[in-house]
This record gives sequence, structure tokens and C-alpha cells, in this order.
Amino acid sequence: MANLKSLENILNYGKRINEIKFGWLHKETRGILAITEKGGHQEIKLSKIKAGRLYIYPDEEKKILYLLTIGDKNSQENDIKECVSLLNKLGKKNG
Amino acid sequence: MAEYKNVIDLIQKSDLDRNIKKDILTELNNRKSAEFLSLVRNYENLSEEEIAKRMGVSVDYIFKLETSTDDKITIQDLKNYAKALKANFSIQFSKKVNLVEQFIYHKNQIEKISKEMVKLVQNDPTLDNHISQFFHKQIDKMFEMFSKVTKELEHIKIQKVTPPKETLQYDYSIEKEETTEKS
Repeated sequence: MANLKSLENILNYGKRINEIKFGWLHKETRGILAITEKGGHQEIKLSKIKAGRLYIYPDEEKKILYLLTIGDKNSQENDIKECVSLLNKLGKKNG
Repeated sequence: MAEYKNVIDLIQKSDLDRNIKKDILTELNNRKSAEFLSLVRNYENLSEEEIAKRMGVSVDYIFKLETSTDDKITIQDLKNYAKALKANFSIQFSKKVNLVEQFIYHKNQIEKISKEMVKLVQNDPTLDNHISQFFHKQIDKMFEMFSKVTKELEHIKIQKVTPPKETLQYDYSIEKEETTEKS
């Protein structure tokens, strides 16, 4: 959540996704982004949630950040397929 | 599909246990310095690797720093980070000030900077023309700004003092009647 909030913060300051430099932000297919949990993991310790990957899709035109799914390294392939399917349902053709 | 205003709203509306939610929100709220660091780094278009190199630390150190809570970040960390960004570093304690105090503060700051610019000319007379031109431009802009504000104030004054037209007519008619009676 801290990484997601940092990303939100920077987007709110007008930075474009392709200009943002975070080691924990990975570009996947179709404009999907994966937020991993590098850095301090205090909140994971607090919540006892397994470290994972949060998949998001930023619609920069509409200033909407879609939270698509959450998974981990092992489920990566299926998670991305699920994200693509969700994007199709949302009518997001181009990444 | 649920909609949230922001990340905080998402956490607040989540199904997480109340105490966990509270802990996460407290932690996020205590990451202002880290968020600020990653924001300025991104504004300088620097990656974690680049700033780590400039600071002479590991990339993991930067990852950790940029996700740390405020109580884990030292003043030395901030100083080193600022130095790597080639930025000035200062710590400021300021009491809440009213508008007049703010105005005076900024006036004093302008005065201070202006004196520094004069010193620049003393050291390098070739700058004289540029700085003189700059001052003249700023004087014009300030004059324009104060004229505008003064006009706005006068406009407000007029609106406040001038009674509505109907009342004027009413007053006039009374005065007229009284005058008629006296005469």
C-alpha cells in the first residue's frame, strides 16, 4: 500500500507513467503495471499478508487507476492473463 | 466495480480488521518524508540506482529509505539525499502566522535576496545591466500587482458603502417631503 500511495502521490503531481522511476514498479503487457514490495515491509509484518504483486492499470487520460488483481511471483502468468481479460471487459484495447 | 477517491479511501473502506486498518493508515501517514524523497527524485528524473551511486550507497539502501517511516529517517539521510539531488537542505520551524506576518516575511525575504543580487554586481560589474533590468521589471510587476489589488479593494469598498438604488430613491423622497414640509 505504501508503494501504491507513493505512485498515487507522484501521479497527482502530474508525472507521466513512463517518466516514473521506481524499482518496484514493473511494466507488463498492455500497459499493465505490477507493484512489487521492495523496500520497507512494515505493513506486511503488521497485517501478516503474504508479500505479493499488485496489478494496476493507469488510465492517464481519465486519471483513473484501476486495481486489477493481486498475486505473487508464482501466480504471475495467470494473474496477467486475468488482468488482460479485465482490461478487455473494461474496453481498454491499447496499453 | 468499487470506486475509491484515493489509496486512503480504499483502505478505509476495505474489509480489513479495524486495528490492522488503523496501523496501515498510521504507517502511511508517517511516511511523508519518504514520499517526499521519492517525489523529488522522480522530478529530477533520477532512478534509485542513479541516486544510490551519487550518494555512495546501495540501491537497497535507497529502497529502504524511500519506504521508511519518518522516525527511521535521519537528518544525515536527508542531507545526503539533498546533496545528491544538488538541492539545498534546510530545517524550518515556523509558527502559524497571519497574513500580515506572512506578507512582511516575504517582503523581508525579497529584500534579502535583492541585497545578495547587489553583492553579485559588486563582485562582477558585467552583471549590472542584467540585474538592473531585472529589478526594473520586478518593480513594474509589483506596481501592477498592487494597483490591481488596490482597485479590487476599492471595488469592494464601493459595493459595501453604496446602498442599493431603491434605498437611495426612498431616502431622496423622504428628504424631499421633509423639505416640502419645512418650507
